[in-house]
Amino acid sequence: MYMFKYVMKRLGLMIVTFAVIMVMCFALIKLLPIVVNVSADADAQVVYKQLEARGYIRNAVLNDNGTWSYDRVPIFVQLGYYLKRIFTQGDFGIATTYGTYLNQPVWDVFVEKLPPTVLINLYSTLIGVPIGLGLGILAALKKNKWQDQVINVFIILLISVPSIVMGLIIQYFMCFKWGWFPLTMNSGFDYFNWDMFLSMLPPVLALCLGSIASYARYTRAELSEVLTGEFMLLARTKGLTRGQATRRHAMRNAMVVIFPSILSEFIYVLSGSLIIESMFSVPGVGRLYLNSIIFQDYDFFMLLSGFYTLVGLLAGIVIDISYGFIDPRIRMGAK
Amino acid sequence: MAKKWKKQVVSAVSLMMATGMAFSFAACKKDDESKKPIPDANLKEGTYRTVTTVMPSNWNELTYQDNNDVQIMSYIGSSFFEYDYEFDESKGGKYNDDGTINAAAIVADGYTTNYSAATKLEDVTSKVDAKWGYTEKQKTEGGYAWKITLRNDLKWDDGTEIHAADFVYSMKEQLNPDFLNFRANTFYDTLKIKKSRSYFYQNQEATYPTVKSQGYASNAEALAAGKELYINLADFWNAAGAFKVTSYDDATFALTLDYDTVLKDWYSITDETLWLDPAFNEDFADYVNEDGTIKTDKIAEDELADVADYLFTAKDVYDGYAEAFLDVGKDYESSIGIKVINTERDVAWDSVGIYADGTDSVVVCLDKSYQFLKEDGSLSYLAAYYMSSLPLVKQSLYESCKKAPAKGSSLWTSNYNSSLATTASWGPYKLVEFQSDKSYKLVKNDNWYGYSLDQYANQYNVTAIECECVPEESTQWMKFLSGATDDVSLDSDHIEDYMYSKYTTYTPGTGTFGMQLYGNLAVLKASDNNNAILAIDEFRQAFSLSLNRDDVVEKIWPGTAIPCYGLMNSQYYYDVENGGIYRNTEQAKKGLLRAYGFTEGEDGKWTNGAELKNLSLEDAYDAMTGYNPVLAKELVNKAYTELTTNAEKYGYNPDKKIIFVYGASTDNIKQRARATYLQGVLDTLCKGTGLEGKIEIKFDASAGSKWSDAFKSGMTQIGFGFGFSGNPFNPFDMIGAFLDPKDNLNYHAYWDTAKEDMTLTLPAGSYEGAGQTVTMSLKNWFDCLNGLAVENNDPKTYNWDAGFAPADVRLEILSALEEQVLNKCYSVMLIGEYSGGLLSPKFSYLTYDYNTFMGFGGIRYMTVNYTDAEWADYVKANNNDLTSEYKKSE
Repeated sequence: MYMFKYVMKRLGLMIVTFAVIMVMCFALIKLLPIVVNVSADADAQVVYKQLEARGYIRNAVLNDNGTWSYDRVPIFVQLGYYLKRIFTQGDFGIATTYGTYLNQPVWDVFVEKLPPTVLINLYSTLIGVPIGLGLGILAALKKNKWQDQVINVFIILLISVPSIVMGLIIQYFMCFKWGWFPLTMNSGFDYFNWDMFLSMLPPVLALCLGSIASYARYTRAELSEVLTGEFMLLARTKGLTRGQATRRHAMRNAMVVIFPSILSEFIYVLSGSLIIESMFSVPGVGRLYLNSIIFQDYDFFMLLSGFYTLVGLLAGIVIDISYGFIDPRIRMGAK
Repeated sequence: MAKKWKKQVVSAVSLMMATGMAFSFAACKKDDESKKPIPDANLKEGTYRTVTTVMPSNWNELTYQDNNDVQIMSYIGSSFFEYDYEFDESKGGKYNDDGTINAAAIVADGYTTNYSAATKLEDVTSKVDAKWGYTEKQKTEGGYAWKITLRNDLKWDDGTEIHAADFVYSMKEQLNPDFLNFRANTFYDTLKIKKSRSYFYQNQEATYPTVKSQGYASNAEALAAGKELYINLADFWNAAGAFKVTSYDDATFALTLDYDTVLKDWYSITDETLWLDPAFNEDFADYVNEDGTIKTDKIAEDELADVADYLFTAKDVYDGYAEAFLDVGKDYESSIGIKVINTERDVAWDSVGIYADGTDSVVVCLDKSYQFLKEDGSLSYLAAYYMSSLPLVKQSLYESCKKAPAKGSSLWTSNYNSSLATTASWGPYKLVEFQSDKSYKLVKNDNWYGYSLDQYANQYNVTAIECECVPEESTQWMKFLSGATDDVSLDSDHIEDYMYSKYTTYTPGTGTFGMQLYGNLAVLKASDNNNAILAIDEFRQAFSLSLNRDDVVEKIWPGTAIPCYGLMNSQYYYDVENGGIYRNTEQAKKGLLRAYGFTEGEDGKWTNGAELKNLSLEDAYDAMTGYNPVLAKELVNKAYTELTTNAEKYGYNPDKKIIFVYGASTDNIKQRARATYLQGVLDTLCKGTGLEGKIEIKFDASAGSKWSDAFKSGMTQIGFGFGFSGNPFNPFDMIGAFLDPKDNLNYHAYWDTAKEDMTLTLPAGSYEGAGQTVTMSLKNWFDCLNGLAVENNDPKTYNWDAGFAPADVRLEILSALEEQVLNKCYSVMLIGEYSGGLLSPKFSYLTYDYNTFMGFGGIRYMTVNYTDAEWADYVKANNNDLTSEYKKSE
């Protein structure tokens, strides 16, 4: 029951935090000077009258020096309309300045582009976590032996090379020179076929090699410390083999620190990798958030801010609760 | 507004160039029994694979944003009239005996304008209903109303028939005032369809332009002229959000408020509506008794000011601030406006100049005359230039794509032609795959009328076009070198290796770019940058003469530009029918030479006053570099003398540095390097003069996407790389971008060209003003040159538009205007557009001689050398790496 209360309390706080962040985001993006792009062949009057009609500005007037001036509709009036639209119509709006998706519902665009990002990061996690943990465990168990040294060199190499360089190396050798994979991700919406998987592997590798090093380093450090704990000696004296003691006691203790980092990294990568997606032509969400700010596309920015804020806040709760499952001694909300 | 259409027109032209959808010889060929049928040449077919850095997203003709959108649009649409190569009949004409295209018969720089989706074009100015209001003069003149007869076999890709009513519906949607569609200006600004502007803007209630913009020197003058002035109260501190006071008692301070009426923007300066400043309202409840009166004791106790201090009216504000801040020329002049009510509301659609005449004919009635037909009745180039087509949307689909305004908005939108499901085609290809931000695929549209016509026989051998979005240049190149794509743009990283590749072609463009120098003395003087020297003509001229264009190209735009000295490069035609290039004319050359310091002797020989003497026009023109450091030094000394002698006039402080703000949209290494380059040029220029070490260039990219506005308002003073492109067939109009203050594009609207006179003695002939010596303002010259003098209420109303004055007279005026602009040096032109690209051996162009109208022939004329299967084998045989092949020069 205490757990239920704890979760409810956290959810309540989360909603308040979410609302505050969203209002701040709305106000801040609206405070920026409005982006008005008038191309050479356009009639500036149309562009400004569109902004008026969208309810962003009013009194757009052409000045003598060829520039336009206007008054801004008060931010909280705009916020009122925005909230009303979402709660009464479930309408998150359409892209208004982000040219690539002009006039398209922002929700539909986001939902269409989320799968490639999620899949690439999921594959990256699925490949990276076991290898990273495995290398970390091996290094910890063989601490200061040659296996540990080799793994450490490998880790340092992978950590030192940024994923963008890793991506270039993978693309140049594995895709261009050796022809193992396509240079870019395949087109299409069928993400679960062999060709598509193969085309996703280069960005997956570019992303997961760094993660492997990071997991391995984390695991080695945590496990090395746990393995020297007195309870491990007790476990051995109880008659457990070294493997049993490591699996049942050392790993579980080490995972209290490692597991949240895996979860948070997975959530973090949901926002996509701008460079890797661009390099391998992955139609993911990597560019969306940045471009929504660059183009000041309000509806896009608010949807993405809302999504990532919500995911971040939920992740915090899930991570906190997960401690209890990994280590039964931890009881969230208990007095 | 004149230039707003130009890029669009260019898009239409480039569409021909890119896809080669222009049409050949008149449609009557099919009916000509004497002609032999064209045999099937059994040519190879294949898929063309290309890349784009930005995916098209909105290929809706009514709203498309940029050239990325044109990618798809150009393949899924058709044209009434289009350009084609001119084939020399004496060399065998267009087709060889085996049905292949006879490239050897192509006339260099030639073109023809042909019918495609239309079969007939008639000038019906004298025949249309009297309601269109054409005068007898206009009826005699002709060119105002046109009847376009469509083919009767036009279809959408699903087989739905297309008729005249579809074009009328589409135009109605194009001009729909609820949508404010982006491309409507093509029809109200360029084609000038009758009543189209009024119809489009009929939802606008009123505007409040500034007093100055309405031609008054002061507020008092406007009031004396009977104008009612309005004040924008929302501009004033603490006024926004004020509540309306419905009653107020001076004695008790009791007031009542109308909480539903909040102050908005514009109010008459005589308006005495009382408002309560919201600053007072912050703790309002604490100071109000239950009966609505004010707790004066508490106000005194809290040492608050009298409540009356928080009350104001529009009249109060105007009376209080008018003299100090609100008059013309004062800091807040823009807060005062004259209300201009839109009198053209509720415009009926049937008053707009377009209607269907029968099932397959459309009539357009224009406010401007166009010569779409030649004297012999054949199509002139203008038909394909200005009216290649009218917008067309598929009615049922378009209606389903409409989206009502969201809360707080009044703008309707549409997602027509933005995805596979919302796309309809009536062009040679149709969209079959589309993934946003990733790729699209087009295949041949079997319902396209053109495939059954002889004029397209053995063309369109590209069966499918696959395009992938690949933002990274390195990835684009790897794909190309591995044979996965068929073209790539030549960039600075690869220019050295592939500059001379046999697969590289170079394309000149209309883009002419350079350096804009802000020269508005009032603004420069008022800034803290101590830089009003930019307002001195001699300084700007010196700066211009210090720039070595060859060096600029080599250091800043290697491989993507060529040096350029004029406002327009060599891609501008003054006489399209006869292939007359403006830059090659004697008038243009002389104007340019004079602008760069050459003088013509009585013997017709030219000299630059230094090492170049006794040169013929051609030799002098060839020797001109625009770089004259000696003259530049003289001029900069003159400018310095003027600056120091009249220091007060220029607000010059000799103890301070002179700062020029270099404006950029982004802060990156390239832009910074350009600013540094200019600093070096200035340092060299000023060395040994009184300005040595005094001028500093400050980099500023803070304006971001508003870089243009930042320059126009004087916030930045150097705009490097700024210029224009497009409008290749009308240099006479293009020059307006440099000297018409009302032109949307003009960076120097402060330059009042209506007050700068130019005198010219016009050549003899039979046209208005022939043989006369005329003096009038530059603006007036420009308007006369374009037939706009009457419309713009100019003092002199000569009409020297195309067709109203001989070409040589128009050239004389144009080159004189260009010389004036160049002499002013607000716009210092440096480079002309010139881009390179590689095409894989899977395809080859019909001809490698660039043609302004047809480019290299585009997809239409492309020859397929390897089928898809053969190409796969070829690439495999080369071990999936064609690098060495692409580096071959022969």
